[in-house]
Amino acid sequence: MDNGASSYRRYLNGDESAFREIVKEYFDSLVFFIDRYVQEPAAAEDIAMDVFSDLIVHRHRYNFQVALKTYLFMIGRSRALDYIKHRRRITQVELSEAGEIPSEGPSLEEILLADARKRAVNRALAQLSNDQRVAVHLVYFESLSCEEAARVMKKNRKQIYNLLHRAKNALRAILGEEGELIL
Amino acid sequence: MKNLEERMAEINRRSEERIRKRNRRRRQMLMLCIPLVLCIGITALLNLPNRTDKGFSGGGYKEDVDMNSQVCSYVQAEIYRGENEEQLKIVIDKVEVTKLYCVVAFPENYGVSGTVGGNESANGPSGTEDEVTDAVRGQTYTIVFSTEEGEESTYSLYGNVVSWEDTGWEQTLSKERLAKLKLILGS
Repeated sequence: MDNGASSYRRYLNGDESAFREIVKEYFDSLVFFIDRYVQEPAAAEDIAMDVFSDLIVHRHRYNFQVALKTYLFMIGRSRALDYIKHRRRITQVELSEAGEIPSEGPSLEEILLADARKRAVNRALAQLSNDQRVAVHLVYFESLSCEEAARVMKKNRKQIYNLLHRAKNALRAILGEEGELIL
Repeated sequence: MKNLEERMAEINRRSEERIRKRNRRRRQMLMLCIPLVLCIGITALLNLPNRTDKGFSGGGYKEDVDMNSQVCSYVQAEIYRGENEEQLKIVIDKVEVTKLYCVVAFPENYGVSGTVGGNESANGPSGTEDEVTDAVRGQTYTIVFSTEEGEESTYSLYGNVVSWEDTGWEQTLSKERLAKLKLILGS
């Protein structure tokens, strides 16, 4: 799969199964990314659904100039920021009123971060600023290039480099000796 | 965490709902726009004759256009005589009101002689001053035209000069035209 673009092209040509491939490929990582912003796994999953639904509703908005993953993350970021902005307006449901109790099992973090080193970095990320956290997430966890990360975060490449540099220094300090090995 | 099937179902459900909402919004916009466009079109069509008249008049005759558009709108004419404005009569017959309006308000060279039954406009005012003043010596008339909505235009006739009081516009009537006016005024 070439970053999902060919699958999406097939979907636009009428192949419904191609969309399933896209969801299967990118859903979890998108939820994980959105969760970096909203810090609510359930809300992140909800937003991710909307992002994929955008792909169906606005079929010709994606122009194939960037990787589909980058495009999805761009929409995800935008929707996550909207969610944060309007979070106060959302009525919180009492736990006793909630119909469905999430099944017990491995968390998204555990599923996506099988690597122990990545899990250690992930825990340390919580202590970084939001921008640093997102930049590290995109480059380190999602293997996006600095250009792609810059596009998602609506920043330039230099800013991403600076964010990564400062994040790396902060992580070294947080992780100590373990950090020296990882970074 | 939902499985892939559940996710796909939820995504499809949301997409359909959003597409339905979008289509509904588009329909609503269309339903709003069609009457608006129709209204603008009808208004433009109704105004077109006036603009055409203005275009062909050639002499910058704004008064002509205004009068032409108002000819049919007056439904009543009240005629007063003398300084004391003694009411002479009230004309409510539409044809008579129109005739009276044409004689009083249209310029001599407007080319509406057919309407008033004469051909005086070609030669301009005719007759001597004596003849004219003799016809209406010592008489002043005030004619108030009213539309159904209550809008009024007031004209006054002194000697052979008729003036539109609302704007100050005035013209000298020819002998034939004055005679016709006198006939309508009943004096």
